[in-house]
Amino acid sequence: MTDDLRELAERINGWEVPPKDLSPVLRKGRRQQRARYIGGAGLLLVLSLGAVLGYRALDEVEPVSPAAGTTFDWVEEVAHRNGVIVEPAEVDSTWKHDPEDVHDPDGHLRPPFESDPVAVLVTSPTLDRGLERARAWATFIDGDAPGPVLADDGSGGAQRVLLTLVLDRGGTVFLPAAPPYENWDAGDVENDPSSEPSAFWVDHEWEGLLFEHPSNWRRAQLAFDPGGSVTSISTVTLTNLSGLPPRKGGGGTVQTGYDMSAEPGDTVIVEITGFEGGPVIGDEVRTTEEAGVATTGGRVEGGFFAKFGDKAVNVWFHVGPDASDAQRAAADRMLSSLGEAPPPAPGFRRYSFTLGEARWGGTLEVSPDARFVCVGLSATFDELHLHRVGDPDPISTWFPAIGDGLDYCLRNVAETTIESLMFGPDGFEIEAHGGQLDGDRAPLQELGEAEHAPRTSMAFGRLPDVAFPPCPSGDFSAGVSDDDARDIAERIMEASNGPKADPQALWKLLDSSLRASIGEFKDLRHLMRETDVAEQFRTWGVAHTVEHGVVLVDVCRNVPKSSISVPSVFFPDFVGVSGGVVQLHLIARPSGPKLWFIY
Amino acid sequence: MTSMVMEAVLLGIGAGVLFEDFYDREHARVFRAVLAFCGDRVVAEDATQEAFVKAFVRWRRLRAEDWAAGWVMATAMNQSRRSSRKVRHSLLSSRDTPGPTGDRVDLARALLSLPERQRQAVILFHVADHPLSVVAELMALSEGAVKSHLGRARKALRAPLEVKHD
Repeated sequence: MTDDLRELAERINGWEVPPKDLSPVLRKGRRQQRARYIGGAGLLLVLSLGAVLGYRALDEVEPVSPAAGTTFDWVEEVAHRNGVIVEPAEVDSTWKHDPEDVHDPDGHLRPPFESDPVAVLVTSPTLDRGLERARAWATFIDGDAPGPVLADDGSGGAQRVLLTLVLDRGGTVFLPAAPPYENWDAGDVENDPSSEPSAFWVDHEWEGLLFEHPSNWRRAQLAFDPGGSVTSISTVTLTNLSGLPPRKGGGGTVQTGYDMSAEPGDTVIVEITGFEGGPVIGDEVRTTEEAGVATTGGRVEGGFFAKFGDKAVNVWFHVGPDASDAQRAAADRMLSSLGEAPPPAPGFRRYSFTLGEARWGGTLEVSPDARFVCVGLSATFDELHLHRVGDPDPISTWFPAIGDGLDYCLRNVAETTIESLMFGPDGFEIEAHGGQLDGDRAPLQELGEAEHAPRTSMAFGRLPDVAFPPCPSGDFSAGVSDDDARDIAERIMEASNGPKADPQALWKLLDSSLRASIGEFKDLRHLMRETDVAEQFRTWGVAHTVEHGVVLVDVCRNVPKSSISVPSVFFPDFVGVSGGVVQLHLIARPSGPKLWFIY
Repeated sequence: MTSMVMEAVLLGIGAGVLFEDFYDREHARVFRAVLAFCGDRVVAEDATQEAFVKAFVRWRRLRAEDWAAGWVMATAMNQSRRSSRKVRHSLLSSRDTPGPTGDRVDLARALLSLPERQRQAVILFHVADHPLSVVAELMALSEGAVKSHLGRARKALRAPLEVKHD
């Protein structure tokens, strides 16, 4: 196989190449640069003046609340949507980072248009194991970044916008500012869950060893760079909470030489003990308990399974012997977030199952309307299938593994599956294929429904619930083509007085159900105000038609996938405006355009 | 800033690279990678040009990065995705399509049969010869996920390539 791939590479690298022609590249590039500069200046101008000037012409119709006027307003709005509180912060000499550091914290997300970083204090019970007025620099990045996850849609509009919070103590968290999963996978291949945005992950890299975890610490994993110096690990300790450079322990000792006094959370040490010879399961785990007790006198608080290259490891958490109560509380908080999945969103039903001779426990969560089916399981496998008891054929939901484990939510599950899952877990089993769990099958046990849940879950792969308003009433007609959708979008633009956004004209186009989904006219106008930021951006850019069903089918389960088309109308046009995160999504149907939701 | 990037900056690597030189050096690699990815010569040409336009606009930031070439390659692949949706089977269905021909078609067929993410991983890693860490960065995935894609791709490619050997 390796030879085949080498031959494949050689042949491809021998393919004929068209003549180089740099001149059109430079010509188009310079044109875009000019547009970008103009756009940047325009945005800054509007951000500066917007709060002062408002949009008085519209105010003559109905009074509205003040429009967003500063970058902080945008930051606050997006943070709020994600259940995160931000406050303006005063920067002093004790801050470790300068604004110049924050645009590209991890070296892989490049904002083509930078919003000015603003200093904030971040409070969140879930992000980064809990933040309480943590210092951070906030900035927006748009979707024009390396990699298909943050894909450009080809029309100049960003498909994903993220709010970046660069924590001054170390680490970065990302909050979705626009629909994050629109274009997970283009084409007619099925949605690949491994396309989930890595933006929700935080990486710690050291000598070829990569330790990464999602922003909510629900799962973590290790990997190593085959070109790096680390090929075998006996014992490693990482101060994963402090932002300090990790250190390598030796001979089973636990590194305790850090100054842990800066922040309570810094005292929690992650010790990673590697094992030769493959996966470590159950009783075979050679725990670090002895080493931990011997070197720190602390307690082995718990751990989780992870995989390191071809070796399985258990990651254990210790609290140093001199830890204060606050420090131990920080450890407990982290352990609780790791040991148990965070509570599901309201109304989610939770089920458990055990596989691998009961050695691997997993969870499955289903939203009340089966919009989401979430699975959490840390083991190696290729696929999980859902079966009715006694039925050898799986129903259509299956969960391909991500690397060495699984923790994500499916959307757009097939309708048959939705119906099945909506009526309870009785008679369902889950079956694994491949890896450590190959061939194992177990029934689902209902765990009930959580009483409390965060407004927004940042669980890996789960969308913020706040993004979706209730379904509007009314039936949808099938068969709207891309061109129809575009025509309808253009009708809206025309009705809104051409390139100028006119909320009154748009309001007239909406039927009662859609008006109800927005609220009142002033709400629509407020939303439009927020986006109509500059004269040069008063062109409504009509983006391409979103894949059928990707955005909406999971919201309105009574809508067949093939029945709707969804043009995304950006206003203002997204070119160069990373701060302009608001999108208007439309459902097209023959009777007229239907406003769906506005970000 | 990653240590790798920091090192490059300290050494001055890339800091003084002219865009023209970069284009001259990388154009062929990018085009071939995109052609392998989308299977359509016209789409690949357009996508390659668009990606270099984007690189030009961002050159002030990109020029010092050792992953700049990979960025252009990944961006060009992305650019080709929408267009290739319309014509993605043209290579297989029409001999008039100005794509690879002959035995190259077999290879292109095998590649094109893969899901996009697997295809992209194979091209970036095996064809463009980027390190796994860079591929992961370009695809915005963990290295484990990239390995998973590569493993599945190899498995999927095995059959058609074995047929080729037969």
